[in-house]
Amino acid sequence: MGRILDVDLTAETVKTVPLDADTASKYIGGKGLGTRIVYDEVPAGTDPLAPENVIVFAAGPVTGTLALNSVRFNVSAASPLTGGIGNSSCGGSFGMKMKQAGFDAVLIRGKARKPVYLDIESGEGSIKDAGHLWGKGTYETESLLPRKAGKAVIGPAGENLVRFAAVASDERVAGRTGMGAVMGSKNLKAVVARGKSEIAAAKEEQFKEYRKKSNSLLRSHPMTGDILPRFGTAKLVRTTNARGILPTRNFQTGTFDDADKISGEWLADNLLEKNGGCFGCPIKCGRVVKRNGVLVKGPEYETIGELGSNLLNPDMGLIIELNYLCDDLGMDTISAGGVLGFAMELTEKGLLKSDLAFGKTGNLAKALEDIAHRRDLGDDMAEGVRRMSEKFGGGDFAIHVKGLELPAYDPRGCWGQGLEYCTTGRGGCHVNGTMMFFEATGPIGINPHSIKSKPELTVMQQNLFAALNSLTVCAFSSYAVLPPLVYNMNPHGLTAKIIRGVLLNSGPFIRFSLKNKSPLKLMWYERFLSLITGDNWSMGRLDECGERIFNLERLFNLREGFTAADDNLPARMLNESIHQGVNGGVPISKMIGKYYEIRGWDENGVPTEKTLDRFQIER
Amino acid sequence: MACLYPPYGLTGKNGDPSLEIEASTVKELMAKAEKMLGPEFKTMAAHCTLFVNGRSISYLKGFKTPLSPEDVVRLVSPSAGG
Repeated sequence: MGRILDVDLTAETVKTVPLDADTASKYIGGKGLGTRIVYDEVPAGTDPLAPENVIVFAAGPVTGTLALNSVRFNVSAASPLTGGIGNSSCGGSFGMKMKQAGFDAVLIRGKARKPVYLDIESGEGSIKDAGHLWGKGTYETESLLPRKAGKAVIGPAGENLVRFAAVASDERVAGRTGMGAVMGSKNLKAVVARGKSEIAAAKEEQFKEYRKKSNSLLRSHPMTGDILPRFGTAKLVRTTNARGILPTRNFQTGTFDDADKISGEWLADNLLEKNGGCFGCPIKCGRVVKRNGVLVKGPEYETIGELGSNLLNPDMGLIIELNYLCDDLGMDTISAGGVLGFAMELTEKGLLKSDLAFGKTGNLAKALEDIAHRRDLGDDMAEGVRRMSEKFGGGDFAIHVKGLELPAYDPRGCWGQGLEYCTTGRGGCHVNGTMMFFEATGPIGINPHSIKSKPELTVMQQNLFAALNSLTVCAFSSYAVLPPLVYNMNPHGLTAKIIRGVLLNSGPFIRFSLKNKSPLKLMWYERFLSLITGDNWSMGRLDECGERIFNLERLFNLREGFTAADDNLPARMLNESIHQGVNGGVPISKMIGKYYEIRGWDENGVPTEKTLDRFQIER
Repeated sequence: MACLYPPYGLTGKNGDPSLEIEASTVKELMAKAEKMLGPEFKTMAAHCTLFVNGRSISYLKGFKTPLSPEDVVRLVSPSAGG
C-alpha cells in the first residue's frame, strides 16, 4: 500500500493518507496519479493561481529502481498558463528521495501566509520558514537546503507568478505549463525529501537481472549508447534544419543559415567538457559545459531551437548563458523563447514598441530577467504568448496550442506531430507522443506530408506516453525499443521502404489493437512493471491505462471550458507553406474527425459515456 | 550550381562548409561529391537521409530527383530527443 503526504498550507496541517490500490492500478503513478488527484481535488473553474488549486508531486512504480533511467517525477496542477491540466516531468533526484522518505506522492493545497518550504524526512512532513530563500535563484536555493535531500525548488519567476515558471531539481527542470507559478502562488519556495525507505521490487532477483540486461542494451544501442551520449539532444538541430522544421524567426521559416554553429556536433567539438544527466542513467545524454570557468548544464535541443534559431541567435555561448539564466530564474526555456520570438515579430510588424528584434542578441539576457521580475514589457511577456496576443494582436502568428508555446518542431514538416500538438491535454507539447520521431527525426521517416494512418499512430503514441509519464521513465528508453538494424539501415534502401510502407498502412491494425488490448509483453515496460509490482502487466493493460489517463486529462480540460475549437494549430501553421511543392499548412481538419472517432469521442471532442464506461473513468 | 551540405565532420569542424556542385539530378550530385570527398563520403551517406529543400528524396523522385541551381541538398543521420 502506497502513501501520500497531504499538506494544507493555509491550515498548516500535514497528514498521511493511503494511496488506494485501485487508483494505483488504474492510474499507475506520476502523471496519471497527479491528474486523478488534480481532477478530484480542484473545484471546477478554479483560478490556477488561487489557493484552491492543488499541486501534486508524484513518483511512479519504476521511480528510483534505477531501471530505464527512471529517476523521474511528475508535477501536476491546474495550469496558470493554459487554464487546463498542467503537468511536467523532471529528471532530478527528488522523486527517488520522496519515495525513500516514504511517499509515492505529495499533495499540497492552500496558501502559506509567508514564504515556506516543505521538509519531508523519513515519513514525516513539516512546514518551515523560507524567508531566507525567497528571492534567490534555483541554484543558490538548492545549495542552501539539506545537501543529501532531493529538492524541488522555484526561482524568482515562480515567486513572481510568471505563467511559465518552472520547478528545478538538481539542474534538471520540470519546465512546462507553469508549475513553478503554482508553487509561487502558494508561497511555497521548495519541497525537500530524504529518508531511508527501501525501494524494492516484488521480484527483486529477477528484476535486478532484467535491469542489468536492459541497461546493457541501452549502452550498446546506436541511439542510446552512441548518438545521444555523443551529441545529446542537440544533434536534432541539423536534422530539423535539413527537414525545414527548425523554428526560425518565430516559426516564419524552418531553416536557419547558421544551424551548424548551434548544432550538437558543433557543441561536442568545441565546448563539451563531459557528459552529464540524471542520477543512475546509463545514457547520460546531458551536456556539461563551462560558464565563466564553472561547469554547468549545457542546453538541450528545445532550448537551442527556441532561444537560438527562433530568435536568429547563432551564438552557442550565448545560448548556454540564456539556458543557465532561465534555469536559475526558474523559467521554461521553450515558452521563454516562444514569447521572445512573438514579441520580436510583434515589434517587426509595428504592433508593439520594443527594443527586441530578430538577430539582436545583446538584450536577450536582460529580457529574460525582466520577464522573471515582471519589469516593463517583461510583465506582459510573463503572461505567455496567448495572453500577449489578446492584448497586442498578432493572433495569426501567436505560436501556441491551448496557450502552451510550441516546442521546436514546426508541424508543417510533420503533420502527425501537428495533430499531437492539437489534441494533447496540456497543449502544444512534443513529449506526449513524439510523433516527430517517426516522421522527421528518427531513422524511419514516414511521409511527413501524408495524413494516412496519422490519427491512429498519434492515438497509439499518446496512450503509450501517457503511461510512460506515469511509470515514470524517461521517454528516451523508447528509442531503444527499435532494433539497431533500423538505425543502421540505408534510409533510401529497400528495408527502409518496407518499414515505412508498413507503418503508413498500419491504421487498421492499430485500430484493432486499440480495441482488443494485447495480453503480450511486447516492450520492456510491461516486464519491468510486472517484476516491480508483482502484478501481471501486458501491452494491452499499459495502453488501457494510458488511454484512461489521456481521457481524464480531456475531461479536466472540457470542465474548464475548452472545446473542439481549441484542438487546432496557430493560423500560420494551417495556412502558410514552408515546403516547396506542399500547398498550405497542416490539414488538421482532415485528421481531427477520424482522431475523435478512434478515441471514442463525439464530433465535439467529448468522450462518450460508452468510452468513459469502457475505461472505468469516474467523474 | 546546387548547394550540398555533407554529413557533419566530413569537411571540417566548426560548421561544415557547403559545396557548390553542378548536377542535374541527386544521383549525379552524389557521384560528384564522392569524387570530391572520397570514399568516406559514400560510407557516411549510406546512413543518411537526403533532403532537397527540406524534403526527403524518398517522397520526391528518389535519386532521380532533378536539381536546379538554387536547390539545397542536405545529408543527415538519425537523431532523437524530446
